[in-house]
Amino acid sequence: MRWPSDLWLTYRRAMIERVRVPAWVVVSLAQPLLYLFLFGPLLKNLRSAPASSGTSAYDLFVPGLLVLMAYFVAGGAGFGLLEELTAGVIERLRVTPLSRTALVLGPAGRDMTAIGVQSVILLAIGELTGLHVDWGGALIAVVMVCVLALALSCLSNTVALSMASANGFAALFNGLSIPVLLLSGVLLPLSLAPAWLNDLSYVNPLRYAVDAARSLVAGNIQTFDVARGLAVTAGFAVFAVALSVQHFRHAEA
Amino acid sequence: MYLWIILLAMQITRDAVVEAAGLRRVFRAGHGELVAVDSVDLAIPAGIVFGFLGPNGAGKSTTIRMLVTLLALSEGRAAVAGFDVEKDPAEVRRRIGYVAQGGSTSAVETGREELVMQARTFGGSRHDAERRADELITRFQLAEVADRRTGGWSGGQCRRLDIALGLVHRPSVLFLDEPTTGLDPQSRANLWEQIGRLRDEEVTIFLTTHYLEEADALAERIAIIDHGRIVAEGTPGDLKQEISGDVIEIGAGSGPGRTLAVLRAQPFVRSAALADGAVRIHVDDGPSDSVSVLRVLDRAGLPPSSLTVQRPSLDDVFLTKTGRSLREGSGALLAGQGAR
Repeated sequence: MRWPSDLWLTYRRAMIERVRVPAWVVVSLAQPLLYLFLFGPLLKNLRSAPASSGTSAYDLFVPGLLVLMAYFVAGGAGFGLLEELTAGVIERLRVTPLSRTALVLGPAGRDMTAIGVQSVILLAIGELTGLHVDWGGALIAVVMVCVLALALSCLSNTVALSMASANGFAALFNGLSIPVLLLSGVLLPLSLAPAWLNDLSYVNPLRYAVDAARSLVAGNIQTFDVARGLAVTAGFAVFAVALSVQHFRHAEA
Repeated sequence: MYLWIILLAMQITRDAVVEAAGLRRVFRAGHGELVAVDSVDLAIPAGIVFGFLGPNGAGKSTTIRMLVTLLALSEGRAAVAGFDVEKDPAEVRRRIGYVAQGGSTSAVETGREELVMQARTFGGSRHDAERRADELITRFQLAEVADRRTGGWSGGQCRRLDIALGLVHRPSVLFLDEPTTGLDPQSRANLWEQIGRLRDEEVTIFLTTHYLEEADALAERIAIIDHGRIVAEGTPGDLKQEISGDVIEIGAGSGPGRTLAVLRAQPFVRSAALADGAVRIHVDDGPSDSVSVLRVLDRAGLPPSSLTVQRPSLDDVFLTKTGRSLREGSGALLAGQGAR
């Protein structure tokens, strides 16, 4: 069993790569604040929440932001991989006995760390600005979003590695952002959607995570939405990790 | 097919540390296929510097990438340091160092950090990794910059670090893919010295290059590859001796193309090609044939600006085997499509 120590090496390296880029640190910490300060005032002025009564638009929107951040941070992991690929680092490490699982999970661990920290900041500032946070449920939500980040990071790296083109990857990532986020219900609740659009949204694993995050942060822990969200997110992560390890084992890029 | 491969494998000497039989690699290219490497057989004994010489795109990097477990083989088999590259890639990786063509370090890490991490990927303690990093930093004269991020290093320093990274685990075979391409003469001389030192330590070195001087100066055995196939193999001396006769180099001034055409048509000229703006011809007897050259060119109204008789070089070996000169830019350009 050598992959745990290998994982520490790749995780440490992935963290160093980012922490030494000041822009990354600043943007990562500022991002939750920007979302809250720019979106928040708009939401508070919404007269009635479009979802079920009793929840404000703010309570509905902020938990979804956790998933939005995971999409941008972990989904963009591929850009970092392409940079390392160009620098020749990936190739060098692939000719060492380093465990392929560790090669995949190191950067994913970095993204999980980033999302974990960002989520806690977001929820804490959210609470100060009027969000109703049930911290027991919120903690489960943060863990779930970290697992979602694991899945997205692996998927992103796999796609980036097989495309091996920063331009192509950027086009795909940007092109997918709007449909994936709209169909997750982060931006506008899918209760506003016509039936066909709502049905379509169920192919998107992020939708389940958004539903569960809302329920968890509100403190409704023992619900169907939560159970389903956790199950789908866990399944998604298992699939993405397996795919990505398999791909790194055989990739020739 | 398989019988043939087995027969070839049996011919391979026992103590070869790099052996390949019927190595072939095909890439998809648009609608067609590009055969980057075809029927390559290798048997490299331990402890030597092996030079893999050929123009850009000849298949050098593709071959090396198959041997270091980065690329799958389309056909054939290969074993490095006693292990099959396809069946036991992990065992191969433990025993080889690979220094790729385009650099291998991250700009935000320091040289020491890169070395320590690389050493730790082979197992062993942090303490051992740090000590090994110290050794290599001293050996490759990187002490001054070792604790700075590599983003600010010179090309020569980065190259030395790349090679140091390939050596952290004291591999028995070191693969160097065009190690001196793009380096200034001083850095190149320094690298040659390091390679010589490794040879003294009995590390087997597999070196690709498109510089003839480099292959001539460093390698004990050479294989010349062109269009994915090995066209000649042996010691530099053997290869040069294979071509009996002499080489005449003619300074053609204004009309090298026409001079080439006129000389090529002469019965006493065995082969002819352009090299660095001059015409090089291969003849049986240099001193007497140079008189004929003068006479022919005078008659054609193409008096040469200079004329020298030389012993054959490795370039002439390449020339007689492929009909092209390795020095000639256009040849390399034409063949440069499949570089990967």
